[in-house]
Amino acid sequence: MAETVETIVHKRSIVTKIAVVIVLAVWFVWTVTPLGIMVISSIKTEKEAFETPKIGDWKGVLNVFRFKPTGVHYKALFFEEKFGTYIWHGLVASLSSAIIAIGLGTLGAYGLSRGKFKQESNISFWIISTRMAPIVVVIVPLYYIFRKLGVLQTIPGLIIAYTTFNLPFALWLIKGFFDDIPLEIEEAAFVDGDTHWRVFRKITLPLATPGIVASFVLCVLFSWNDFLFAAVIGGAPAKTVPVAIPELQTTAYIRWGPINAATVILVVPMIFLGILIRKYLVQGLTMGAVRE
Amino acid sequence: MANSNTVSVSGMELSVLHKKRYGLSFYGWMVIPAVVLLLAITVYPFFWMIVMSVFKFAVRPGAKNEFVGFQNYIGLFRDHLWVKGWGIQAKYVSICLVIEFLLGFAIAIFLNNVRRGANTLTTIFLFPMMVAPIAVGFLYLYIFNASFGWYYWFLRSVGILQKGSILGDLNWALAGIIIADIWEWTPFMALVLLAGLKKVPLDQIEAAKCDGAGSVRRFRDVLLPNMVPVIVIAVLIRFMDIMRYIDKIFVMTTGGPAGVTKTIAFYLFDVAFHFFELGRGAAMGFVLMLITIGLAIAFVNLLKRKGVQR
Amino acid sequence: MAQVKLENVWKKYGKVEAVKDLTIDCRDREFLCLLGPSGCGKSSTLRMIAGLEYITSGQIYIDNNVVNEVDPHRRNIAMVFESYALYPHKSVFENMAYPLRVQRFPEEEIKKKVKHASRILDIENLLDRWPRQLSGGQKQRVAIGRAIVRNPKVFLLDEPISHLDAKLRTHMRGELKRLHRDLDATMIYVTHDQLEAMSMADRIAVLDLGELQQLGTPDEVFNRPSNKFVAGFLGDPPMNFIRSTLHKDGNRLYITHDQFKFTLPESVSSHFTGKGTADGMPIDLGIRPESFELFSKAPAKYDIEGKIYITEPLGEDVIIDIMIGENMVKAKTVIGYKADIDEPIWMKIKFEHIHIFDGDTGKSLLG
Repeated sequence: MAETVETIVHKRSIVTKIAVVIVLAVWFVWTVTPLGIMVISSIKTEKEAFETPKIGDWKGVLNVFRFKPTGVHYKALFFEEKFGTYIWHGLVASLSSAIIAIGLGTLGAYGLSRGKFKQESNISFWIISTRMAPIVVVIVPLYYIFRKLGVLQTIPGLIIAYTTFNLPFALWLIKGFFDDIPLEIEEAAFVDGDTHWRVFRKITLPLATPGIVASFVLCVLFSWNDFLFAAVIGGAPAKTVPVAIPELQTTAYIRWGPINAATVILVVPMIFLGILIRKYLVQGLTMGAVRE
Repeated sequence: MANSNTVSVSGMELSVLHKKRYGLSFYGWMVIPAVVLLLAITVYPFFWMIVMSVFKFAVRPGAKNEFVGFQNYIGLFRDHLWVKGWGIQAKYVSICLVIEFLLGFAIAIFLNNVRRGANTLTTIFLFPMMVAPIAVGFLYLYIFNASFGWYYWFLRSVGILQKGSILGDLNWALAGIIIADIWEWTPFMALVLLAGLKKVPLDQIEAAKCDGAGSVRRFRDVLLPNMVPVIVIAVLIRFMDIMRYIDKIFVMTTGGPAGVTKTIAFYLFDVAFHFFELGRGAAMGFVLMLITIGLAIAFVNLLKRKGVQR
Repeated sequence: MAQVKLENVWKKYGKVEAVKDLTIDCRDREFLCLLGPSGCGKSSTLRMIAGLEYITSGQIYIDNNVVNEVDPHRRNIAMVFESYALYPHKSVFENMAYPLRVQRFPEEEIKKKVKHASRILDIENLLDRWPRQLSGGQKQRVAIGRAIVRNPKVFLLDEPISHLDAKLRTHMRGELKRLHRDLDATMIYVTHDQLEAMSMADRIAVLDLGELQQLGTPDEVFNRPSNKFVAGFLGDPPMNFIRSTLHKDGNRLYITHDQFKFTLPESVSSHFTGKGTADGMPIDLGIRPESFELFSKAPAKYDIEGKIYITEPLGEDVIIDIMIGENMVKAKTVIGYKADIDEPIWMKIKFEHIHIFDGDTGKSLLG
């Protein structure tokens, strides 16, 4: 049938080739440099990190690579600042919220996908609206409700807070994955006499598993990266890494070494996760609207 | 466990049978727990937000909250910070969206022309998206620093920046936040637009070639129209997200200097959690949400009418 | 209108040779058909003529100009795609007007030409519709309309009717042939359907696995196929091939098989090319289903006796599958013939219509 733009092999003029290489190279440098600086600065002493060349001294750029790697900042994080605990909080809250969202979301998504409900468009609209609501908007009533319920500044409170955006996201995304599985496969099983639940468990679920895993990973990603919910609702006892980093600034002094190290800890696992679910990234981030 | 009377019955009929026996189809039962939880954690707070918005909240705990009707809402229009915040928000959102869209489209087109290594390159380009917004804030706070920031050094060495600082400068502070946003989110645009580019049917492009259209014409008449749905989705999602997050502003400028980066979302945060005026915050939130959703719907309708018949 | 020439054209996708050393020509205002099974390279050839694919080596001429390096939009060709390739965001009128707009024709002329083309194709009432509202046959006619509004040098058609239902296809065969006459245009048409090729083309180029098998008029490729492939590809039901042995006895030739033996009459053996024929060489005897005379009772003289395997009534004709020893052949005859399964049947061969192919190379041994 109709092929897409990429399949025809064409010669390209030299000029086009050079232009492509230059543009992509520039973009590559622009993308990777800040990350590189972050990583390198995290293993430099602060004194060395602050030694940037004079304005206009282009040769001095090479100095950035002349340093003695040190783990002093990472040590500070874990031994002075209890970052181990914060990482733990973040993991627990992210994973728990993701599990709840994916667990209920998978069942609900299956129901929405296969069942014919009169309320379906309403539910869909509501789910999209939760994506549209600015976080600051959602936080205000949540803060008040949680304060009254007494779950403010607890991990369970944080888990519920994360679920407010993870659940609609999971519902919407996983429904898309179920929609992609043809109904005929299930009907063949029904004809053979299987029950609904068995068809779901033995046939549909395995086929949707890659998508469900991708959704799970994305839920963990959003929760782990979150700052506002953790700051407002989590507070001190449920502190996660994103909340702890700003606290490395005191009124007198910003501890850049530990901050860079903490940022590395925050960022690197998520980059790995992103690479892991690369195949479903477009579908996940556009809420299923665009498939790659 | 197979019932003999379920043989040769389709899934839909089966759910009707199920409904008759249990009062609700199988699919209905599956949906219930998710929907109940969803209502509890989204609808319930939503209504509370509307309720809160008609109260004036006591700052001291223990003191009573006062019912003030629409006063919170009316007060918004007299609040010059609110009005100013919308201006800043508009500037921030529009500049970011336009640049991210144009850059993202360009990157997508260039990536599409790469034969080998496109996948690896694309994956690397995606890294900024994985970085937590707060981390992006700190990252750029660091490299924009006037004393030891590499970006600052670069901008000064190239001559774009004359003197002073970036985030402390009235004119440059918002630009700094915009630059950070572009770094973080252009890959998203590029990725989605690339997916859209690959979906443009090749035979239409070939037909245009045979019809005599050169590359610019083909881009305008075949490529763009086929990409409109994807463009809408990419811009819409980016729009929704840029209105949502304040992490970068929180870290890089906290609304300063002199409030030039105090977007409406940040101002809301300030009001609600620095001054603890939860009532006003709820009112502001409600208005912000309405406007966000309204703009999104208007944008989609505008493009539907402007004429891509799909 | 122009003539098209391909000289020693090769197309390789990496190591895969899709088109091998192809040299064919399409004369000015001729309807040339590129015929062959899937994967024979016919579409690749057409796309190279259009400029949608690069030529690995060789030359392509349109009107005596080498066009190897010329972009498709500068070759002045019009192409009708298998998938129609209509622009979904343009109305039918705009789809057909597009090539004219690109060339900056004045609005009045565009309207005139589009209306004229739509009248020829009987789609005048569809001008305001959108592609998604059209049926397959209508879309195809719009695609053709988009091609005929201009005055290109060549029309290129890539299996344009293969996705239509059988009845519509039959109808369109006539329409396309008529269109060719009315437009007096050079057309190169790709198909895998030999019936389309036979009924519409002035000349047919039969291709297999990237190589040209034969280039000739429908009469030539049907009645004087140059090899076994061409013989077997044209004709429905296809030609029967019976492995036998050729014997030479001075000037006389006769064919032996464990079920039969006969001498070739003078009319046939006079056409023998004689090259490379040795006594006792294996051959494939080619007999079309229409070239048998069938007898339910043994006549005085007959050529082959066989046993009926099955009969397939086709309305006016009937096809009878006959077992001759280990071989199965299909014979076509008029309905009314009394035939029962497993009954013996006697056949006479119409020798003017037989073909003989070299058992190893497949080349025809008749000149």
